[in-house]
Amino acid sequence: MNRKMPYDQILVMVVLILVGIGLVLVFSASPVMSKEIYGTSAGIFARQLIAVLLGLLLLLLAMRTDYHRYANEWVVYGSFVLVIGLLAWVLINPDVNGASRWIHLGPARFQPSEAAKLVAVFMLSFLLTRKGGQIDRLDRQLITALGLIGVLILLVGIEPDLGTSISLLVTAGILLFIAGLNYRYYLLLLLASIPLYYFLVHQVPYRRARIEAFLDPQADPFDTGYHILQSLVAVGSGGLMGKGLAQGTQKLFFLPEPHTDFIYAVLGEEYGLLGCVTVLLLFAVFICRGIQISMRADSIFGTYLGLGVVTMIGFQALLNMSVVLGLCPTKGIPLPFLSVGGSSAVIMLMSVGILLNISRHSRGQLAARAKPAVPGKSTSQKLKWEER
Amino acid sequence: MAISQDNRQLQLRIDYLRVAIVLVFLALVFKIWLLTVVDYERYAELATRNQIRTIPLTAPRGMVVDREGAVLVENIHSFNLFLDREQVLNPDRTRRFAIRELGITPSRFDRQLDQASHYPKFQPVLLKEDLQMDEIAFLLAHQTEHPEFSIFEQPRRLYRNDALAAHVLGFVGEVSENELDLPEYAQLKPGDTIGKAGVERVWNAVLTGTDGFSRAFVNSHGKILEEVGRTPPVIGETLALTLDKELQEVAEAALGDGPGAVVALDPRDGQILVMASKPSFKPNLFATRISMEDWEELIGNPDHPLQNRAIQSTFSPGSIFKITMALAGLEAGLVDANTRVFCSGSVELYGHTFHCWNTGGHGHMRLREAIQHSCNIYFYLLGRKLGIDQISAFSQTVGLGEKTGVELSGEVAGLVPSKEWKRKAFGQRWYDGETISVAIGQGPLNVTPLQLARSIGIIVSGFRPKLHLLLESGEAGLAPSATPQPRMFREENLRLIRDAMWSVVNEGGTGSGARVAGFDVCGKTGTAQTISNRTRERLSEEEQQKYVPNAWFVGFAPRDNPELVVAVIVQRGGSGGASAAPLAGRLFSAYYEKYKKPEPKLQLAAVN
Repeated sequence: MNRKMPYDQILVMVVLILVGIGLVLVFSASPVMSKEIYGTSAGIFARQLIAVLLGLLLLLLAMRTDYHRYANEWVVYGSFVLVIGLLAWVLINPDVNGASRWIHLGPARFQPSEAAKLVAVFMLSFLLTRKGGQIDRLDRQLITALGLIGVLILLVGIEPDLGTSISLLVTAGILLFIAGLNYRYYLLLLLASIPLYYFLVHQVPYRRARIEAFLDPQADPFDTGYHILQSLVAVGSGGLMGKGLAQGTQKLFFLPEPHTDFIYAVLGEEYGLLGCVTVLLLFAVFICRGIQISMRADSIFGTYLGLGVVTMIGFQALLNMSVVLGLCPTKGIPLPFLSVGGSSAVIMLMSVGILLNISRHSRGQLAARAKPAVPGKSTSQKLKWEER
Repeated sequence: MAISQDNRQLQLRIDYLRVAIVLVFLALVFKIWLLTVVDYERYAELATRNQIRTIPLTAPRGMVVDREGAVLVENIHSFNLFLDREQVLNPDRTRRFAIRELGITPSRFDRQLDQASHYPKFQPVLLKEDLQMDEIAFLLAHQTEHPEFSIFEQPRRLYRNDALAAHVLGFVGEVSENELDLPEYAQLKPGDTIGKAGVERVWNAVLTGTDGFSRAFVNSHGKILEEVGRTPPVIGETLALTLDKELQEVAEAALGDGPGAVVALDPRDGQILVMASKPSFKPNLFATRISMEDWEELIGNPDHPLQNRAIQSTFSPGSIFKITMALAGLEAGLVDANTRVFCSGSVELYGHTFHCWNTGGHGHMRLREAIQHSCNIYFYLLGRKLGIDQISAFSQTVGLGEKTGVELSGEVAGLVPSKEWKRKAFGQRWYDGETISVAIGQGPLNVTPLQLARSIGIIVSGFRPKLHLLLESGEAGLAPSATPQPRMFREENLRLIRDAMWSVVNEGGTGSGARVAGFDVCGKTGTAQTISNRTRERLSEEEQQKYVPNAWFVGFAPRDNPELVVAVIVQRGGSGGASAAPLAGRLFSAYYEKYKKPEPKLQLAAVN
């Protein structure tokens, strides 16, 4: 058993390229916005650069931290309680505009909902590992897991940050699906979501407007359909090769938040089909490598944790790009590694670090396929595949 | 068993997931292909049409009002022509259209674009101000061919009373390239307006508002579809001046075309109520671009209409200076009310014969009569007693020969001669004979009308307040009669001078033209030669006409508690009594009517 495999270098490369592309795009897209917000054209870029550097530092740290250490009640519940506390804190201290998403720390600010995603992944991985094969049994553990995740989703949802809360929900759903949760639960969830949709979307005018705008963006190009149409115009007018670095004009207040949620549209306008597909492929490679790493992990906890991280990042990426390309209604979800957003950048890069550490504790692919190692009994606390 | 089943199940579920992911990726790639390849033309067209325009929302400058809030300067709407450089497709075509069809001179067009080249492209460039209706109609008709031109409504400076108080108010103009380099104007961009003279310039920073802008979504014809962002402009602060618009009007009407100047101030607190200078100019001509002809006319006029004679021109004070001499003598203890001098019409001093204007002589003169009849001999002899250095020092005490410090720029100091001055300026010693000329306000003595008014204010009230044009809050009414400040001179001396000046106006003296029934106007006339007698003798009749003396009148009222000092100079007016005093009289009368006249009896209102 090779317990000291090298880090997955392809994954490292892919992430670094994505982060690099992100910085170039932010540099191009943000000056006008930045001047509006901070008075200087480099403000947003500088902040993002600092966040990325901090994220890379945490990536290195996480990469060198044995991920098995996270399979510990103290770590899991501790981080859960911490993040619940932070979420509660922002709810009690809302921003001036009514939303409460930020914790202000001097010049910096932090979005606890970003951390909530990672904490949810930790907790699910931990609980699913404990449960072993008995995933479908609706026992106390499953109810606890669903309940705790539900609390997170609820807290994030009432901030309100519906985008992140959907992201959490889907990540949890996919993780449970992978773990073998019976399909009938998903059918149940679908049925349950109809009243939820009614109350959370249909009854909230601005969300409903987004859905309607998505369904027919041309109907009212200057109001709700505006964002989607502008995004399509940006990508479409980029053509095959794009207009070139910093040549895009859609970011000049046509695109809403060109540096955050719509950075992929800026990419489309400035680098065309070539740029869009490149980034898409990079995410594809990331997801493939991520799944591969997870499947080769030396423990079932590692597999779940890795898959959780890949799901979290991959789902956000696909959702964000779908929104930009007009395949999905708009939701405030950033594009991992590319969008401006310090909290997101830091958490995403840290998650990659965890994934990289899992890649270090790999069983080696062939061995796994030929002779699937049998993990300990479902009730066993011994988590490593080979320790049976 | 359960375990390996788990593993297999895990593998199965992962495979499902992989299929789902591949499908999503395919959908995304397909959509990218649809957007960038299939529908490229359409989106490219939409993107070029998708233009945002930045529409400048020029902040109006603050208003300027008089002491009672009457508007002197305000703003009106004006339609200005701008060029949006982002919309220019063919620069040559744009330039040709601007020059041939819109009547912009090539030099202006190139200069404006050249200046703007250092500024962001989305900022429209100002090409022409104050478009007329036919120009606007023409441009709108050609908007489709030339979407790069836009018309924006902007505030324009309006001097409501045209030339009234033009020198005080000043004018505005487009900031020049050199001015843009000054730190004071660092925030500005080409096309912005700044104050170039007068109050507009001195308080430019206060008057200037904060420009706003609007970003609007426009279609391919430049029509504004929707505003996407707006920073509203903030109007500049309103300035309240100490000027009294009604009195200013009276003064300017009385001056006619001049040349001359009128100043009126409150000696108790230094408020300037009137400052008029003629000939004048119309600041409204500068509010848009001044035409070449108008400019050349202003510059070519030998009487320099742009010059503010009240503070930028100096004149010999002539006999007005006798008042300063009188108080100097009294304060120095060299003369008193009863000191008598005999005027025979001339006197021989230092080997020269000095004449009185009354060649027949005034006979015995005390100070009061000497002032009343403006006897030269009395003041020749007083001047000899005082000596130039005492005269000089006392003149400075009453503020002559130095800037008053009024808030306008370009004020000159004038000149009070002294021995030291002569030595420094000419390297020569002072001749005592020169003192004699100075004693009657001739010689190298030069003052501005404002200075002279202030000096009389100081002499008759004994206070020396700082002159000002900006009305401070709570100052709007006339100053209270009791001022706690200690008086600078002995009260009895002041009373003597005030009485003497009263007699000039009210007891058959030279200033009777300034008399106002019911109002104790006091004053002193002056007739100041502009060349020396000896030079005059050498000139022909015709040339002598050009050097008619300047006529002065400086007065105050009421006698016992002066609250208004008026100085009038009519250049080439001849005798002060004939041309300056009646003019001052009209101003005193207007002041009296406005502020001092007792309320009409109530019965008048109750007749019906």
